[in-house]
Amino acid sequence: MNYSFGTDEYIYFILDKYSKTLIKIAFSYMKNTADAEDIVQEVYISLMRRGNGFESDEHEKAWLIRVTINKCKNRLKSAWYHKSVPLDEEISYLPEEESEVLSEVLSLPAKYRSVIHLFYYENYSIQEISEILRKSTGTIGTWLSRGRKLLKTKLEGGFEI
Amino acid sequence: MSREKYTSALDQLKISENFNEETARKMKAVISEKKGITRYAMRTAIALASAAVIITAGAYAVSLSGITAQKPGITIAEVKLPETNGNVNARMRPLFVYQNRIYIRYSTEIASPDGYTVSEEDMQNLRGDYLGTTTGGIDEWSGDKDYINDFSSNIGEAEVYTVKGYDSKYRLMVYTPYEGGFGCEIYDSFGGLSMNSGDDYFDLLKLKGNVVSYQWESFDSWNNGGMQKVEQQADDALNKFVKALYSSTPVERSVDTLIDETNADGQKFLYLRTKDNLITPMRLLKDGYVYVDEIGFFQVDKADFDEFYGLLQ
Repeated sequence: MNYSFGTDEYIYFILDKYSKTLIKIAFSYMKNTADAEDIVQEVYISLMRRGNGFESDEHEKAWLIRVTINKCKNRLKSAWYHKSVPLDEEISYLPEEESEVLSEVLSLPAKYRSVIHLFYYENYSIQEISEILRKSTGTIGTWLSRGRKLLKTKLEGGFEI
Repeated sequence: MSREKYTSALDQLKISENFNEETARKMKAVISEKKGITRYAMRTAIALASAAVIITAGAYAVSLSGITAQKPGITIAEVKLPETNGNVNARMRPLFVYQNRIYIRYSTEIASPDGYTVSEEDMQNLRGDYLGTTTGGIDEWSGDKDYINDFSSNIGEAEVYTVKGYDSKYRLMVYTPYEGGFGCEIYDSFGGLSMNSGDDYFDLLKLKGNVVSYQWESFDSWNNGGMQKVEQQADDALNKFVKALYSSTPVERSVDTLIDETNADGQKFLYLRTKDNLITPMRLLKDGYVYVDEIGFFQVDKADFDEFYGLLQ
């Protein structure tokens, strides 16, 4: 269903549709939900400022994901962010094994964990990830492979099984 | 089973219960600021927008996707209603009808001195003759018959005026007074316009000799909503570039193809401000193309393009 851009209906529709996805992607970079939520709010505000003009829902979603990732990268490299000593997420409420797997994925270099997240959690193909991140499919394939190998050394049986 | 545990862990992630509500509030504030209207007028605007009309997916696709083969001369897609109401797969746009032409919001905006509102002086300088007042009557399921009546619209009641200095066949103003202020927007009717040279389009915008300043921003700034615009006064290089726009060649190109071919460093966004304080945005692609949203691509003389593009540093 398409709502007129900027109306209440549109705003609530798009929040319901994408918030969880975007927050989890941001979390995979920032490692805590407070920063992830903060960034996703900025993304939605950017969307309002950008205005309409997406050719399809897929284009809209890809834009939202790309901007989320860009904002995460920008924040991670900002001096202010590093001075503020961001806290890692308190995830003690998760079952032990799940907490352990999540911690290991989050310990990967950012580029590997983002590809792992988009591939395994969002079920994007390598081709789709390459379009979202604007990297070649070869690069994405390499990052995915290296991420998997690193996880294999840390998680019994690796990541996929 | 690590993958499943990762998925399960993320599914259990605690997201603030009021995230959507709080974010919605901020999003609405941006929309309100962009429109430069009061809370009172905002309610009206949303009510009007909710009666929006749609552009057929076909027409929209023609406008935005085009055809990948390059050939000179293009026709701007006409706005049409869908033949059936069975499958809503199109974007809704504010519009009204006047003399069998459909006027919609393209990308031209009136400058806002404070970033939020249009000045009374600018509005007075632009507002020409009163033509009539729009009515409701077009909703998303309307058939073509609704377009026959002048001032049928999906924007509720709003006054329509000519715009001083512009051809009313292509450009009109919608003016909405409200308690404590007014709303004022430019509506254009470019659908069906055949362009064999840039002159066919840009002359309707009266750019030549009228641009007083311009702003530009990088792709990253635009893409991230950074608003990091650099402002400069019009100079010889700009005037030469505008002249080149008039002699440019409209070409049918795919937006996706061109953007795929052009990396982020090869795109800049340009905003031209004319004497009457109208802002005309366009996207510059370093290979010598200028893209105007929903209008199309213009291939500009490479030397003129490169000279100006190179200054945007």
